[in-house]
Amino acid sequence: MRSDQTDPETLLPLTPAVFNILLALADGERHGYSIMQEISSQTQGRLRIGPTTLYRSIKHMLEDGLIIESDERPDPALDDERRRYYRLTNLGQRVAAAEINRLEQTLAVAHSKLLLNNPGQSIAMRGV
Amino acid sequence: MAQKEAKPLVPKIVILSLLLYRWLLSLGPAAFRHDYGAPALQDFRQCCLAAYQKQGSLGVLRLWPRHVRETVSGLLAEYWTELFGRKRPMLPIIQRSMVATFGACVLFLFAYAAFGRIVDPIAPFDAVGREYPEVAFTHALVAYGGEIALLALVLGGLPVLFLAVKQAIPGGPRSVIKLFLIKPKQALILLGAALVITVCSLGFLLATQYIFGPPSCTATNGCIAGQPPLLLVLDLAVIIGSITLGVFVVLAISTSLSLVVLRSEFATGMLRFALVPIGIIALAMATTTVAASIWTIRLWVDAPQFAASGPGLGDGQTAWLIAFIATMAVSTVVTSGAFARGLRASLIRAS
Repeated sequence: MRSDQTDPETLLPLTPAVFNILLALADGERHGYSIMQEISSQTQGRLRIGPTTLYRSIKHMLEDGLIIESDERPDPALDDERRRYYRLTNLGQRVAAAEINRLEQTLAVAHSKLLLNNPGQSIAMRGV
Repeated sequence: MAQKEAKPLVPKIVILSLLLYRWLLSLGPAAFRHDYGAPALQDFRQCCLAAYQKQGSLGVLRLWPRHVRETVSGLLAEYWTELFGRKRPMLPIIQRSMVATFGACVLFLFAYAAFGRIVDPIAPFDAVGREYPEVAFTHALVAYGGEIALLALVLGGLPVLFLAVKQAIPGGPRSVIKLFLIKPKQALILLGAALVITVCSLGFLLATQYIFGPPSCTATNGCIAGQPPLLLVLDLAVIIGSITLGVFVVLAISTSLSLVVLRSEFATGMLRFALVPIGIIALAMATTTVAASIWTIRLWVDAPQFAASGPGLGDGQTAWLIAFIATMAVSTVVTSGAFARGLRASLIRAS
């Protein structure tokens, strides 16, 4: 597991699954199914990850120290006690921030290329 | 007496889906299954129940293609991770590209050497080349292309290997050995792969001999089928054993060198430098493969009688040549893909 001194940049770029899991856990700890639902909700259904991808990503994120399994278990009467809950670590938060920063820079480049504002115009200009 | 609380009935389609998913998971690595099998199954059950509540059996069936695809590819990737480890160094894509290029280049050089063996002795081919310049030109391209690929592999690979070993030296001789070490499970897989390669090659050899070889086959003319059955079995066992061993040694050395790269961490500059020889190798491979294809076609078009003869490409040698060119083409595609991925990763990183 990586320490808190790890440079978040060394873990970038993140896969869409890992990035979205980090975003899903930004509001607090969640269990696997809840993470899947939150990802589907936060991407308006454009990204749906299944349990295999979810737990492969969780395994790697635990190894990298981006998340930890929460020790606290909810009241068994309210929830299935077999469920595992995960939450972000400090490194996980910093890596998510670094990835957002990277994506913002990419977006800024895309804006500067006029791709987002008026694609037809930019293509026509290049054609001339 | 207190009555047991009745559990809600789980639809049969959900039970069937769970059985399928459980079976798929059982094909995955034991460690992953042990650690995450139960929660994955539990979450899949919830996905199925939610889909059933929304759209009934059809909704559950609609989950299958996506989940089967996702599970199979995920478990294969997990096997890969288990076998070769998982590193998150700088530019891991370029690191993987280096390994893919190395493996493809070894395969390419095998096919290239075998191609050279077919056109040996070269004198009759040179005679055709003097009459048909395009045959001579493409043959020269094949010869130089293969040599350039080999040179680029050595010149590009040695600094990488040197740096990896240099990193491991402070940890003592054990660390250096550990860097090259192949795990028993990996060795077994390589042995199996060597056996498959040997059996396929021998099968291809026997098939081409049967189809294109001389019609009569006796115990005295060296034909393998003309020998007594016991001797034939013994001969085959010795041949398969020795070739398998040879292939295994080559595979083991290639895998060990690949593991060195995967187990080491390199600076960004070093990984970017590696893209140069990878690009040269891809270009040399592509040139050689195209030239070899044109050379074969031109030889059959310009000098068909020579091509069909024994000293030319007769007696099934054309079938072998096609197999070698196909191998070269596959290696070229792998290397070009690795180069493109590495370059893209490098450019994204730089932006």
